[in-house]
Formats: sequence, structure tokens, C-alpha cells
Amino acid sequence: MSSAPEERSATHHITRLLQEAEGGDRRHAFDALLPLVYDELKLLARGRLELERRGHTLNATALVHEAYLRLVRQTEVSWQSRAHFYAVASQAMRRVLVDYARRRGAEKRGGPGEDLSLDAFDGLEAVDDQRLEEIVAIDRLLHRMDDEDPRAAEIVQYRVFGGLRHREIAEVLGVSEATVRRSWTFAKLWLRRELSEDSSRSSSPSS
Amino acid sequence: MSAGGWTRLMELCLGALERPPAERAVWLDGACAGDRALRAEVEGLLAQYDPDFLENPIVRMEGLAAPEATPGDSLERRIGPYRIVRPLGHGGMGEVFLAIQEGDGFERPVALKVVRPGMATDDVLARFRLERRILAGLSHPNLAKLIDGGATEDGLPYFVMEYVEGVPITEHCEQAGASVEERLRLFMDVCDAVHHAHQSLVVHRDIKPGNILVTRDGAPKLLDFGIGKVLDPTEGPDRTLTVRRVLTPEYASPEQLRGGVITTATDVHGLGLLLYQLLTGRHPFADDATTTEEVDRALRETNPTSPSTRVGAARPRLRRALRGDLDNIVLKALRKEPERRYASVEALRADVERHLEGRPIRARPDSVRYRLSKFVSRNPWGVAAAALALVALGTAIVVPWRQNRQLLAERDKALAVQGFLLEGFGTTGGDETIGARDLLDRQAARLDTAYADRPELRAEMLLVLSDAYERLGLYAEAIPPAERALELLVDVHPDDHADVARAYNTLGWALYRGARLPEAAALLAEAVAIRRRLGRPSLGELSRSLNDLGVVRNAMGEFETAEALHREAFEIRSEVLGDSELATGISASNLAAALYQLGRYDEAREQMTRALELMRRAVGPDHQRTVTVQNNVAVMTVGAGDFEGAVEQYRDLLARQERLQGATHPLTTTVRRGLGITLSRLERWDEAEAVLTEALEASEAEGEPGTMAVVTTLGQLGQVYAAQGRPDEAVAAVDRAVALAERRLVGQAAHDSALRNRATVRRRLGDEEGADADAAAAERIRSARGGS
Repeated sequence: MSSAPEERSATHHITRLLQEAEGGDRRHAFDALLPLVYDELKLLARGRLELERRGHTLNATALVHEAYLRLVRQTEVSWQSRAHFYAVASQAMRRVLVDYARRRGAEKRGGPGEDLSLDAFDGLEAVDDQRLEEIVAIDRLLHRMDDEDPRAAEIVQYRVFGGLRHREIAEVLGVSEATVRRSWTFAKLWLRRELSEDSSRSSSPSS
Repeated sequence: MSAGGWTRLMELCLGALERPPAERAVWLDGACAGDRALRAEVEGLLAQYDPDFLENPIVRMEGLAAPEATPGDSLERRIGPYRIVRPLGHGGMGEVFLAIQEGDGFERPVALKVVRPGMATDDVLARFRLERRILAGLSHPNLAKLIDGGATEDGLPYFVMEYVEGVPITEHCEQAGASVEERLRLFMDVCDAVHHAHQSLVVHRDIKPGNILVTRDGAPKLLDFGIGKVLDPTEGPDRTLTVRRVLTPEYASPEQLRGGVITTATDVHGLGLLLYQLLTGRHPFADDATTTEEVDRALRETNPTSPSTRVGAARPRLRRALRGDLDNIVLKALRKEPERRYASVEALRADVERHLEGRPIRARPDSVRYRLSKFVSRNPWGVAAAALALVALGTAIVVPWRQNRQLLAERDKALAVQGFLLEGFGTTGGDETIGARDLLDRQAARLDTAYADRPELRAEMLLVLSDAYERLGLYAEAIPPAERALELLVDVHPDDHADVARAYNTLGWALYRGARLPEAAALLAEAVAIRRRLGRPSLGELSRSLNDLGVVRNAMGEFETAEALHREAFEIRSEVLGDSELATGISASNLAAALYQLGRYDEAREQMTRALELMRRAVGPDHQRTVTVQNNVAVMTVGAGDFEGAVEQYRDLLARQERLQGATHPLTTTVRRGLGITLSRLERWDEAEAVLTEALEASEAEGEPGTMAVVTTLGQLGQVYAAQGRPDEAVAAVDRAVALAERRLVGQAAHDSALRNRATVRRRLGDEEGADADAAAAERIRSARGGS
């Protein structure tokens, strides 16, 4: 853990980046924020493990909430800034979960993950194998969707890995809520088709 | 993706989903236009429709995200004991709400200002608290009162003010059809409020109509100390850039836009803008500009058109009411240099009051260049005389400044004192002269004894002192310090030395300003000689001496010598300084003036046109000096007989000049008169009459210093009346001109020119005898003066 003054300045930095994202320079701010948030989430997950030992429930909401409290000065950000934070956190959570799912798959095949202990997410949202497969499949499909319609892919990510509302996503992307809703509706049709085709073929076809 | 691209599929799917299921098939038939593969793919996608799919997120950051409320309404409906009713507006950092204070058996509306949740940075919080602190310290009937303060549950600070129900002061005046006097009385109330704040060491910094509401009782209330500043006598200059970010650009002062020092003079400027709008209904710049950059630039650089001109001829009564006093009051408050505005809000208010009581006001139009009227020359065009002389005058102002700056950079720290001395006096005007003069006199007295053991330093200070006196127009006072400096320096440096040359130059120039021309020429010639011997390192200084000597020779009527001197100065400056330095342009202009005096009109015009290009390059087209040179070009265009071209020049020039210095500034009047004279050359009598009449009124309003201009204009107007077949008015005009000249300008060029004008008018009206008498008298005066 960082010492107090550094932590303060990191907090300050992140708060600034969020305000920047809200002010319009989203791309840059996101690129700078993502590793910070991701690291914090990983760190928290591991720290939690050490403190609470195996068997305790650790849910993502609490995790993100804690990250948020640590990283952002509460009094200085608007709900719009918070939306930006959750957007970044969604992406970070996507990574964390996908890493987790892959490692768990790897562990099942033998060999521990090196960075993040699997146990860190024990108890997470009924982490059954089916759910984990879904996570991996959606992640893979999102990579494909990103080639077709990057904005739709982003919207799905925020919905699925963060539970953001249309209004928040609209704020983050700087588009209307109607646009978000339309993209989301169609993206779900597409995802569902690809998932069912996936499961029927059990491998992802290239389009 | 197969049959259709992503976008196409999306359009088709969403289009279908928008329609009732029964209609989808028909709609898709049309939309897919027979593309069966596409149609099949769309149907396949539509079959996936499941409203619940993925609506249960893997991760839900619930409880952290956005409130469900509408944007901007992130507050509770209550803050402390206040019930929020509706937003009233928001500034950069805060939102203001109308709220109801509910007490024991009473309710009253209040204005509640709270930091916007997303804006709560340390900086904003500090400023917000500052505003609260400022308001707490103020109590005045024309200031919105602070009632309460506190923090929301989120820890955001808020404060509660008296809720002022009213309309912006400008709107109020329009709606009420307020008279000029009523507007002025309201304005004085605002001044009182601002003055009260100043007494509490608070500068408002954001005075604008939207911040001054007039209540139903008709009382103006000043609101929003949001960017106000507490003047801390122990604190250094405030140059925070944050100020720039939050202020209202159209209502900013030049020093705010430049990031300069903020003082009470900033509010004087704000009040000047307010008064301008109250009187004319317009902002001096913002209404004409299309971008904020233009407004920004104009606020920093352009002198506003005087209110009376702004109002225009369409509203003659208002125009008359504004012309003179109110023009001068507003323009003084709006001067770019804070130190040249009213010294205090009190002083501004007092002048408005004096005007209302019919007593003489203190504000005077810019007076620096009045002195151009002293430069009388002998060419046939009265306009040309003043205009050409003006350029010579300009030379003197700019060059010593440059030189002193250079010296300051080179000299040891002790000289910074002199820099201080000089900086304050960059420009002079009206009543400031007295204070400045006292200061100089004190310094002069000190220098009688100070630095006795350091003659060089003492000489340096004496020279600076001389420059300062010269710049204040105190020419007689400028001479003794320069003399003493020269004596000291000649002792220290028996041989050629740059400092000695400088002393010769300074003293020579002071003598010229004191009208001791032959002595001036001798000393400047010595400066030239020394600087020539010092060679190349002194080339820049040599050009200065050549230029100054050229000006003196020109004034002595030795135009050939002057021409040679200015030509050499121009060549040196072109080489050493290049084409984009002001000094090069000035020399080009002086050379052109000398050529003109020599009657080499074509060369003169060509050279003056070149000077105009140089000036534009050096300082831009709207700089005062550039405009002056443009005036000279116009004069020479007249001289070349190209009256049409000259009219065009003059019209362009007049527009620039009005923007720069206002419609009634003496220089503007000079231009206007030139236009009038040119129009009468073209026998466009009616236009000429209108223009000359306006010029006459402006010159008359100047009082004593405008006398010569009045005489010249009356003479010209007489000619116009005669041509229009208005003999009585023609005679009245020329008679008045002659009478005025006999009373005030005996023996001067304006005197005989008035007589010649009357001779022309009399001859035209058939009074040959009277015409001959005037012509003879004119000739006698001219030869007595030694003119040719």
C-alpha cells in the first residue's frame, strides 16, 4: 500500500481524470484511469482474501464500492463523474472476471494462477462454472462486436459488467439515451444469436 | 455478419420491432426489397428477442450510481431549514435556488446558493467560502444581504441571501422608459454600494447588468460577489489565472483579461461599462463583435466609441444630452490603463453628481495630444499642418521610452528606482498630472544632494527625471535636470562617451520642447557628432539623434536639412531595426513629412504610404500611430489632387479613429475636418456642411484648446455656406472666425488664414472692398510673422 501522501495525490489524480472525462476528453481519461482502477480492484481482492480467509463472501459491488471510496474524493465529483468511474470500473471488472475465469479453468486443468488467487472471488455471485463460461463467451463476443460497432460493444460492457443505467451510459458516451437503448436492443439480439450458435457449435465461428 | 452490414441489420431489426408484430412481415418485405438472404438474417435475429436476456448484470454497481432525479437536481428538496422551490440560475461554481425559509409562524423567500456537487474542488470551496465571508462583512441598502450559511448533508457549503425580486438594471430602465437623469441616479446608488464594498476592502470584479437587479421599489441591488476579492494590503499583486476562467468576458476589465493587478480601478471600469449601457442601451463592443475573442481584444485594445456617437444621429436629443460631460465621464472610467481612470468609485460618482447639478466635471478628454495644436506650420492646408506636426510629436514620445528601457536593463539595481518613477507616468491626463508632478518635484529636490559621491548615477537619475517631466508636458521643468546631468557627465567623461551623447540628446530634446529651437539644434547636433564617432555600436542611438534633430530642423523651417536627417535615420533604422519596428515607421513618416514641406508631393505621398505599411506591420492597422500616419496619407492624397481617393481614405480613417479614441477626441475632429474640407473641394457642399458642422461642435466643446480648430473650421464652413447660397450664415461664420482669431490667436497662422477665408467669402458675395482689406491684413500678419 502506498503511503498517505501518495495516496492522497493518487486520489486527487483520479478525481481530476474523472472530471476530465466528464469535461469531454473521455478517451484520454479512460486510458489513464483503467490501469489505476484495475490495479486497485486486484489489490483489494487480494487484501480481502488475506483478511477474511476462505469461505467469506466477496461480492463485486462491495469491491467496486470500496475501490471507489479509496480512489475518488467523494465531495468533488458529480453523479456524471461517478458514472464515468463506474464505466471504467466495468471495464476493469470485466478484466478481473475474465482473468479469474481463465485461471479457474487453468487450475482445473492443474497449476495455480500466479497473480490473483482464485479464492479472492470465492462466493462471487454464485460463481458456478456456467456463469464463468458465460463471462468468457461474452468477453470473446464483445471483442468481435468491437470490430463491427465499438460503441455497441462499450454499451454492453457497461450494462453487463457494471449494471450501468441507460442514462449513465448516455452521459459517459456523450450520446442520447435513445441511441443507447437502440444499440443495446440490437446488440442483445446479436449476442443471443451468437451465444446460441456458440453453444451449438461449441466454438466461436469467425464471421 | 453475413447478408447485411451491422448498421443495415440494426436498422431493419429496430424498424421491425417498432411495429406491431402483425405488421412486421409486410414492412420487412418492403425494406428488404427482395433480398432474401438479408430478410432471412433479420428474421433470425428477431427470433432472438427476449426482453429479459442479459438484463441481470454479472456485476451491478448498485447503490453507487446516478440518482434517478432529473439532471442538475442532485440536491435534496430541503437544505437545512430551507425548502427548495426552483433553480434561479447557476454560475461557474454554484447553483442558486429560490427557497422558502420556514420559521415559527412565518415563511419568507430566500436565495440559496450552494456549490455544485461536481464542482467541489478545493479551489471552488475556498472561493465559495470567501464569497460568504465577503458578504458577511457587508451591509448596505443596495447590496443583497447575507442571512445564513451552513453545509448540506453531503458537506457542501451553502449560504442564504436576501431574495431580490427584480429585473436587471438595464431592462428596468428600458421598461420604465427611464430618463437620463433617472438612469444616472440609479447608477449613483450602484456606485454607493460598490464604494461600500471598497471601504470594506472588497473588490466586486464582476459588475454587469445581470448582477444588479432593480426591485419593485425601484432600488438597485448589487448581487454576486462570486469572484470578488478581498484586498489584502499585505498581499502581493493578484495575478491568478483562475479569475480569468470564471469572470464574465464581456464585462471584464483590460487588466483582468491580461492577468494584471486587480484593484478598485477594476470596478471603476465595470461601472463605466454599466454606465455606457445605461446611457446608450448598448455594450461598447459586444454588440458588434461576432466572437468572444473579438470582444476580448476590443476590451484590451480598442477605445470605445463615445456614448453620444454610439447613440447616433437618429436620437438627436439623447445624443445632445450625452455629448460632452457624460461622454467624458464614461470614457474616463473606461480607460485601458487603470491608473488613468477615476481614482475611486467615489470620484466617478461625484462627477456624475456634478453633471446632474450643472457644475463643471473633473473628467477631461485625453489631453496628451492637445499639444499638437502648438505646432503651427505654413503649408496651405490647415489640416496637414496639425497632422504632420503630430507625427513629429509621436517620435518624441516613443523613443526615449525605448532608450530608458534599454538602460534599465543594463544598469545596476539602484536604477530600478527610476524605472518605478517612469512607469507610473507612461501617460498623463488631466488631474493625474498634479500628483505626478509633486512626486517629480520631490525627487528633483532630493537629487540636489543625493548621490553626491556617485556623479554617474546621479546624472542618470537626472536624465530620467528630465524625461519624466517631458512626458508630463512640463517642458520648462525638463531642462534644468538635463543641464545638470550634462555638466556632471562631461566632467566624468572628458572624451566621447555614450552617456554624454545621451545627455546632449535629452537636453536638446527638452529645449526643443521648451521652444528654444536654435539651442536644441546645437545640442542635438553634438549628440549626432558624438554618436557618429562612437561608430557602429551606437548606430541605433545615432538614428535617434538624427531623428530628433530632424524634427527640430523641420520646426525651424529648414526642410532640406530635415529631409537629409530623416532620410539617414530611416536608412539606419531600416537596416538595424528592420521593417517591423515602430521606430522605422516613424522615421519613414518623418521623412515623408519633410518631403511634403519641400513641395515634393509625389515623393512625399509615396514615402508616407510606405510609412503606413511599416506602421501596420509594426503595430497593426488600428494603432493610434498607424491611424495618424494614415491621416497624413489622406492629407497628401488631397495635396496630389486625388480628392475622391482622399475621401475614401478619410472615411476609413474616421471609422478607425472613432473606434480608437471616440467621436469627439480632438484627433478625430481633425480627421473629420479633413474629410469636410476634402468634400468641399469636390463641391459636395451638403455633405461637407454636415461633416464640418459636427467637427465644429466637437472643437467648440473642447473649449480653449480647440480655439484654432474652431477658427479653421468656421472659415471653411463660411466658404461652404457661400457656395450654398446662404450669404448671411457665410458672413456670420467668417466674422466669428476672424473675431476669435483676433482675440486669441493674434499674429498666428490661423489669424491670417481666417482673414483670407473671409476675403474669399466677401469676394464671392460681391464685397470687393472688404475682400481687399482682409487680403491686405492677412498679408501684413504673415510677413510680420516672417512667413513666406
